[in-house]
Amino acid sequence: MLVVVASAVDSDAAALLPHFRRLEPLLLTPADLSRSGWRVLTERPCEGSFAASGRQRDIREIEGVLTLLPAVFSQELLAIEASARVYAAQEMTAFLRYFLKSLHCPVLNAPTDGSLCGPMWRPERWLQVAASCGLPTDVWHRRTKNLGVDQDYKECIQVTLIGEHAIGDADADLQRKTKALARAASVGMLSARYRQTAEGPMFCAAEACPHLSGAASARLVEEYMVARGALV
Amino acid sequence: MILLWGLEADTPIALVRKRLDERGQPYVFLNQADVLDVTIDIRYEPRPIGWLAVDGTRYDLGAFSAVYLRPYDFRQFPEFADRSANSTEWKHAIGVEDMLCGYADVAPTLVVNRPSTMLANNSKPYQCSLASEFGFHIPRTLLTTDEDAVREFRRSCGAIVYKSISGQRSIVKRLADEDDGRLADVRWCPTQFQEAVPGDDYRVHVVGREVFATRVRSSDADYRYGAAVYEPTVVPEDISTRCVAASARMGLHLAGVDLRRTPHGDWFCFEINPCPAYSCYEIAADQAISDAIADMLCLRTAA
Repeated sequence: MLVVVASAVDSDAAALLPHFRRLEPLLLTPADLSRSGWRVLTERPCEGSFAASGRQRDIREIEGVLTLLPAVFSQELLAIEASARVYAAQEMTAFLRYFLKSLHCPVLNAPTDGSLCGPMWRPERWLQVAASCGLPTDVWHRRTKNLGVDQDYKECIQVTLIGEHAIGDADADLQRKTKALARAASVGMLSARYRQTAEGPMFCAAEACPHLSGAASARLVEEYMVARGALV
Repeated sequence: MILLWGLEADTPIALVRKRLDERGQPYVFLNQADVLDVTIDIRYEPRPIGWLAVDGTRYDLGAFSAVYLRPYDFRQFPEFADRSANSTEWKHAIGVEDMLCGYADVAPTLVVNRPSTMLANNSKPYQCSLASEFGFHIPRTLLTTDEDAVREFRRSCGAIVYKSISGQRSIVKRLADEDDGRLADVRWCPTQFQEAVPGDDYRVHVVGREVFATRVRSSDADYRYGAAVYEPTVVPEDISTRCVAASARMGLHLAGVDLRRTPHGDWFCFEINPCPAYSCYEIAADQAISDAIADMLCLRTAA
C-alpha cells in the first residue's frame, strides 16, 4: 500500500492516486487524524494501526509513503473547535513527524525537524548548500528597504527530480546539478530553479516539497518506491 | 564583536549581557522590541555580506564573531496588538525576523543556536527516539486517537501521564479516574500518554562541552507548575557525556536536557530543549551557566 499524505484541498494530489498501477494508493489527509483508529506505541511503532480514507488499517500494510504536505495547517481543521485549531495543527504535525520517521518503508521525502516533507530550508541555506555542491549560484539581495518585493522566478527554468529522473525533458546539465543538490539535501524529490545568464545557468531556489501532478509524476514516484523495496 | 538578539527583560539574555559587561567584551544588543527601528541589507554571494543598523548605527555583519539569539513571537508584543497583519509595521517585523533567522542559519560564525536547529523539539516522541540512541531510557509511550487504547495502556502501565506531542508548552498531568469521561475527546487529535516514571528530575544544561546539572525535588507531575526544590548536583560521567553527545548531534551549542533518575538508578530522557530558559536554574541552584555561555561567545571572538 502506498500512503499519499496531502491536504484535502490538494486536488492534484488526489488526482495522482488513479495513476498508481502497481501500488494500492490510499490518501491520508489531516481530517484522518481526527478519527479513532490511530494506535502507535513508540516501543513498537510499526505494529500499531492508523486511520485513512475512513478505515482503520494495520501500519505493517504500508509499503511506501509519498508526502505532499509540509505541515498540518489549522485552516484545514474545520471539524475542530476554532480556539483549538492552531494547537491541534501543531500536535498533528508533531505526531506525523514521529509516525513517518518511525516507518521502515521508503518515505518520499522523509520528514525533518522543519517539515513533513524534506528539509524546510530558507533560501539562504539552499544557496549555501548549492554552492557547496559546486553549483554556480545567483546573488540574492535581501533588504528591509524593499520588503514585500518577492524574488521573481518568472524567467527561471524549473527542474523537478524524483529519484534519478526529472519530470519532463529537462536539460541534462541541470538534471545533473539538481541530482547533486538532492544528494546533499538527502532527499529523493526536489524542485530546483535556475536563472539563465550569459555565464550559464545560476541556481536560485529549491523546494523539497514540490507540487506534483499528472501521470508522469506518479510513474516516477512508483518507480522510486518499487526500486526501494515497496511492492515486494 | 558579539551580536545578541532578544528581549531586554528576558532574564537569560540579561544575564549574558551582564557577564559580557563584566568581561569588558563589546557586543551589540538587538532588542526585539525595537524591531521597527532595525534595518538590514544583506547580499548572499552566497556568503552573507552586508550590515544591520539599529538606532541609526550601522554594523558590518562581517564583524560578528558570535551570535546568541532568543527571539520571541513579536505578534505577542504590545506594539503589535492593534496592528493588522497587512500593516507596514507587521511586514517590517516579519521581514527583519526572517532576514535575521536566515542570516543566523548560514553565518560563518558561532551561532547559539542556529534557528534551524531550534526546531529540534518540535516532536517530543521523535526527539525521544534520538535520545534513546544515546543510551537513555524512554518512557513507554502511546500516541492515539482511540479511547480504548488509552484504557488498555493505563491498565498495563499503572499510572500514566499525558502531555503535548509538539514543542507547545503544556502542563504534564497524571491521568485520573475522573478523566475517563473525557477520553472520547482523544479521537479529535492524536494525544500522547506516557507511563509515569518515579524519581527525581534533573535538568542538565549543556554549554559546548560543559555540563551544569540541577536536581529538582518535587511531588508534582510537572515541577515547573508546583512546589520544587532546586539544588546543584553532579551527574555520573556517562550521563553528562550522553547529554553532550546528543546536543552536539542536534547541532546545539546550548541545550537543556530533561532527565529523571528512578529509584533503581535508571536515567530517563524526556526532552532536549534547544532554547532553554536556563536562568531559573542558574538563580535557584547557583549555577554559572551564563558565565559559560559568555565564555563560549568570547572564546570565538578572541579566536
